[in-house]
Amino acid sequence: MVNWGDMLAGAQLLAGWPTLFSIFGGMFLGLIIGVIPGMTAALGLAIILPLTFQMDALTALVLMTSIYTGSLTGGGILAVLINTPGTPGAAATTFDGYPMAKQGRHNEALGLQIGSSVLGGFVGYVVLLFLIAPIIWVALKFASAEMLMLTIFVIVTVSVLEDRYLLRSIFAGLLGILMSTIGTSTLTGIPRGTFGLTALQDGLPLILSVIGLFAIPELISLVTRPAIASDRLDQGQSLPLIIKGVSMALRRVVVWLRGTGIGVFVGILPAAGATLASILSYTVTKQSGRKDQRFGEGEPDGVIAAESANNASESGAMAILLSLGIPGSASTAVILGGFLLHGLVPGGRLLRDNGDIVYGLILANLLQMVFLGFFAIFIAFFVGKVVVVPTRFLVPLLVLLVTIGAYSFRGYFVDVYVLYLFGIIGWFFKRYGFSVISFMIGLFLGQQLDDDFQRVTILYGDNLLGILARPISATLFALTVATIAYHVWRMLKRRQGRTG
Amino acid sequence: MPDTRPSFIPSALGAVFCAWAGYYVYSTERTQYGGAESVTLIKPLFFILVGVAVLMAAVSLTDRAGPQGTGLEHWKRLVLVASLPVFGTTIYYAGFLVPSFVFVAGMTLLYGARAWQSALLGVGAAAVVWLGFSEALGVDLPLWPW
Repeated sequence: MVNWGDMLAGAQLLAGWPTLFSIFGGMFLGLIIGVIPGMTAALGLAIILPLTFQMDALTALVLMTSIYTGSLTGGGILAVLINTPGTPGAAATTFDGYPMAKQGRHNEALGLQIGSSVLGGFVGYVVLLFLIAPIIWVALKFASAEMLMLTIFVIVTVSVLEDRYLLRSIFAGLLGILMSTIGTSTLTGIPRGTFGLTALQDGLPLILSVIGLFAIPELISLVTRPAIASDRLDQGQSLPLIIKGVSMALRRVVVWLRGTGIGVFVGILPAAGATLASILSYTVTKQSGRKDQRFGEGEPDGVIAAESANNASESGAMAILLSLGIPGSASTAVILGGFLLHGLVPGGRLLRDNGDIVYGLILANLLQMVFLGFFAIFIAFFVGKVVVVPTRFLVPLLVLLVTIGAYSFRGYFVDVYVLYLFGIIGWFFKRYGFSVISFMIGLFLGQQLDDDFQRVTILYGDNLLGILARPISATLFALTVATIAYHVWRMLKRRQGRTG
Repeated sequence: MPDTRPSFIPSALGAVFCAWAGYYVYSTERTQYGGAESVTLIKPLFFILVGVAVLMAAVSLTDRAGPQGTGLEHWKRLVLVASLPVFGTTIYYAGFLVPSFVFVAGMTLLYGARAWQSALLGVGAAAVVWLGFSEALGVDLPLWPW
């Protein structure tokens, strides 16, 4: 299963200062990009790509993956401190990370986030190192029918979690799916709901929609508070508390191991890997949590579940990129460009013809995870001060930053308006109990659902139930029905309890 | 004290989004070639959305729970919401540099910062836009109106 000769050759390729410089430089740049709202890893990678022309292939790829890894973790830091996911995968980190920051526990939250990121990423790459072949075998079993059922399962699972306003939650999820299909239909080539705008032909910019949904409502809410952690303004930066958070993450083995497992597997699936993985991991942890755990109000397990899955999904995305040449996101698409630029074609033959580079890259990623912890603690220590900065300064500066980030995403002014529009929608949703999480899940998975649904319709015609003849689809369908049944049973039981 | 009045806003929001969804599906389906095939999922979804919106409206009328989150009653929030489209439109016509200075300096001053602090932050913001994003990171920002 593992070619030890190639692995040894890969390790030899890594030995030397250029690799270390690439890791340090890439990690630092990635973390900086990650903590700037709206700046994406894809943008950082696109900026750095031309600079890698003169480098050898492995050094260039190590630099690019270091930026990618750094930005994923930097995005999590931002999610904890100002409720703004720097990357879509960090959205679930806001659920408990930001409430912790508001309570003045930002140091611990940052430690939890960094610790679980490192653990998830490291274990994820170890899994990839030894199990790349079987992972790909399972991934290839996921055709349109399976993806359709998986998407429905995730949407249902997330929607039923919102007990209080179930109908509003379902409405938000459905609306998210509909909005995600804006743009040119993949199968028919017809532009849908674009109002004639070229910028919308590729669909809504999802990361900007998510930043709008989370950041703008929070900024509107924040502006009347003296600071983010206004109740604990004395709570400055504390390295011991950050390290305490890291060790707390280390001790919650079940939570981060489960998150890592979900992250590695779901990361393989294209389009919404990290987002889907972190939300699924958060949901599973919440459902299996103890009664005294208050998820959504600053529960440490929520941060660990989300972040371990988020970073572990990177290894899954890398597995599918290396073995099949399929980029799961814009960032991995730029990394794919890096491979091609250096004459390497990801796919089945890459491992056979350039096994030393593949194994060298995986080993370098493991090394990155070790350094990531130190770098991220350093960055978090300084950036963490943001929670005690007076909002009269912070809010206007953050509005400016997210606006620049939105414009720089693709160079369209329309994107700035999309950001603001989703900000206003997010504000209304938050205020009136529509689930922002359901809406976001709909946004992320809707396009996939639309494509899979159309393909399934073409493949199965009138016999749509035929998809249940496939074992994975049938299992996912059964899980979906069981989730709904469990929720209805719980609601009835609660109602009985109230009347009885 | 929590607001216990029934709220019509969720129903109104439902109606607005259903109207958009209706237009979206109708305009797609009317497209000459491939329109009908492009609504395989979104058309049934639209009908489900309307169904959920009707149920939601019925429940909302009897729902006495107060709205979650925070309102726009506070002038600071109102000013921030109003400033977003203004800032977005200004950068479109005037580039990023001057509006960034004016926005940051103006908003911080309005929110209670001292004049010198606002001026300093405004200059700092413009410098970050120019030197940080445009020069150092190489982001292609239109800095000036021309």
